[in-house]
Amino acid sequence: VTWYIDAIDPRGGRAVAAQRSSDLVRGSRLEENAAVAFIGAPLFEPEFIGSRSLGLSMSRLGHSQLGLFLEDEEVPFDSLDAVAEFVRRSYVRGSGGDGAGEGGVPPLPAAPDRGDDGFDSDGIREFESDEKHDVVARVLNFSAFIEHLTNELKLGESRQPERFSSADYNELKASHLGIQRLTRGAVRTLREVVRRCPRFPRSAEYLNWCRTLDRVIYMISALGLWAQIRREIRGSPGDARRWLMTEPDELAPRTYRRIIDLLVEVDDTSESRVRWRPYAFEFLHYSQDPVADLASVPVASKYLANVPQDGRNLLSILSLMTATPGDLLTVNGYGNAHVNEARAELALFAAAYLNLGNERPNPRLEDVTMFMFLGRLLSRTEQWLSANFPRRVFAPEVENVIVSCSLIAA
Amino acid sequence: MKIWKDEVDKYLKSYLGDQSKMAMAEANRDMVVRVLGGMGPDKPDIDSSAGAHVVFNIAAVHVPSFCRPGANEKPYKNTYDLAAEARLGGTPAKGPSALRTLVDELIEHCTQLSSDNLYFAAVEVNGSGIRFYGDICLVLKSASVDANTTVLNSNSYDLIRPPSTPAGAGPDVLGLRNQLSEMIGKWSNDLGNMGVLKAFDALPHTNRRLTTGTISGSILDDEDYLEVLKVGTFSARDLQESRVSASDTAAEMQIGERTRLGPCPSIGELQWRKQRLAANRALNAEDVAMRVVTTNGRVRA
Repeated sequence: VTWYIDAIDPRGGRAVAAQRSSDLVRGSRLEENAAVAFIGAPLFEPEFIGSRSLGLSMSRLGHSQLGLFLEDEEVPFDSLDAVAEFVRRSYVRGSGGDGAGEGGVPPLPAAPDRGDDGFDSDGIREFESDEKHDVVARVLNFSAFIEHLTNELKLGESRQPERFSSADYNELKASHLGIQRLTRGAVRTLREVVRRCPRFPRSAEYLNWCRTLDRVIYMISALGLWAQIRREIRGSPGDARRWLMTEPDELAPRTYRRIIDLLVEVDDTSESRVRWRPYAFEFLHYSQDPVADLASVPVASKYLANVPQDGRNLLSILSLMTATPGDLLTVNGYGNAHVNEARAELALFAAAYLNLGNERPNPRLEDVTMFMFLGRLLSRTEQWLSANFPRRVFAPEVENVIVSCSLIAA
Repeated sequence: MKIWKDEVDKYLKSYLGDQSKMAMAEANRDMVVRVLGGMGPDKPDIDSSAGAHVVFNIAAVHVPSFCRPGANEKPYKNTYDLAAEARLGGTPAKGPSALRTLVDELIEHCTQLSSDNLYFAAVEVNGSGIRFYGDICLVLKSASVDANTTVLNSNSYDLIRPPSTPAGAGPDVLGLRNQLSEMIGKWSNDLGNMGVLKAFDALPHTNRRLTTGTISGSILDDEDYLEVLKVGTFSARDLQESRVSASDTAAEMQIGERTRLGPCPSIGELQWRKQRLAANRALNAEDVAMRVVTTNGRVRA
């Protein structure tokens, strides 16, 4: 029982598929009794329809195409569920290429030409991973497993992978490692925004940058991560300031300068004083739409090299990781461990922010209670990631087609 | 080409038989023509914002580029406009489908319209168009539709499926040309009577007056619609409004609510909602309102 796509609008998340032979280009007649189904966003649940006319007509419309081909042959699918999952994953991956227009957000602040995000320097606390407890290690292992599964499949085959299993965040080690990963994602994000500060204030670019910085301040405050950030950054207050402040300082808005002033005063060697958190900053830039927040916050180019420049944001990296986790390991030749870990940390930070819902930690919580709050959030986040990872994987050439979606213009 | 008014006369006589039902049928016929023409029940004055319109459905993600096309780019595109752009997977070396080529040739033969400059649309009254083609329904201003625009009484691809072409059989080109010529009408002269036939085919004859909502629902019903062959593209300036369905809007609102309060919706749902909000912003910037409608147009927001 083979299914083929009659028409697909990959960026729009719509397709019509039929149970038939591979006759879309060569055939001059329509087969008898071909089952036909429509698949569409946001649920991607197949709906049976009465006629292939609908799909064939759809292929004439803008942004839709007739069929799905590889090297002049139609791509077969072994079930309707497989087609639906292909359409869903293509849509999610493609949406990761949304620019400011499709995201409904201001353009991302421009990246300076100089260097990368500089995160690999000595300023950050070293991370000691643990295969069992470290969320990023488990995500990367899952990605490798997906890639391995894919390599075993031939064109026309699909397989349901085992689900990504969540860690037990009642275990102190998982909780500590997870919070450290989350915080590193936050620091990477903050540094990327800070280094994009325009050189000249009183310009539209500067106003846009200030708005972006506001979003990140809010995200970190809402997650209760300021004190954790101070823990992650090694060295003297001067070192911490160099990591987090604009050059010159005066370019940063007053609120941000105040946060950093307070933060660097915290003694990172004294557990008792690390408990301090800027109070009430989460109310300053209150957000109604975490999705728009993620879409308006940039990530360094090297983490999303094969996505259009104006689409390199936190929501994109989350789309990349959930739609094509296998690709997380190999994007555009940057397939080294540091880059892979960085991508996973950024995606974890983005996913955790989405999964906050309306919960916010009380800024005066004791560390132990705060860790419990973040542990629960991480557990919820992992369950969400598990539900959004691929439900079916395909042969390598079909997986490559899904990956290519983020380069198709909307 | 058919004289569609005569077709309606013939239909009423042969179908109803019973003369006692004729008065109500005539009243309903008049009602359908008035509803499609944008007239009130008792006066011939036409409100150009009411009545039948040409609609194009498009997925929300494409709306920003439709509203703000690049230099030398058409705002609304058909598949021929996009032939040079990146497509998913590979391009079949043998070119487009033999069936599409056949249908294009049939249309060109019967209408003298070349497919590469045709933009396929649907006739809609109050609803939100053909949801399968996209969740945003772009409604053209009446002034942007040429009176001589060709309307077909069904999807042109119906020519290659039963009963026009039996399943598994090859197409009979000469027979299909004749069939297609019988499907053709013109926007100004024929739409009302084409609508009467479609509504009467879909709705049972009773001694009750048809309502605007019922008529609207029968003109575009799920996969079944009157196809419009619009010549040339159009832009946001040509739009009277845009419409979205109440069910999609309910889903969008629920996703928004879950985003705020949890549990977090799926990444696909979040992207879909984001793109709809962006589409709304882009249309709003072009002074195009977005209305929430039910199929019969009775509820709006």
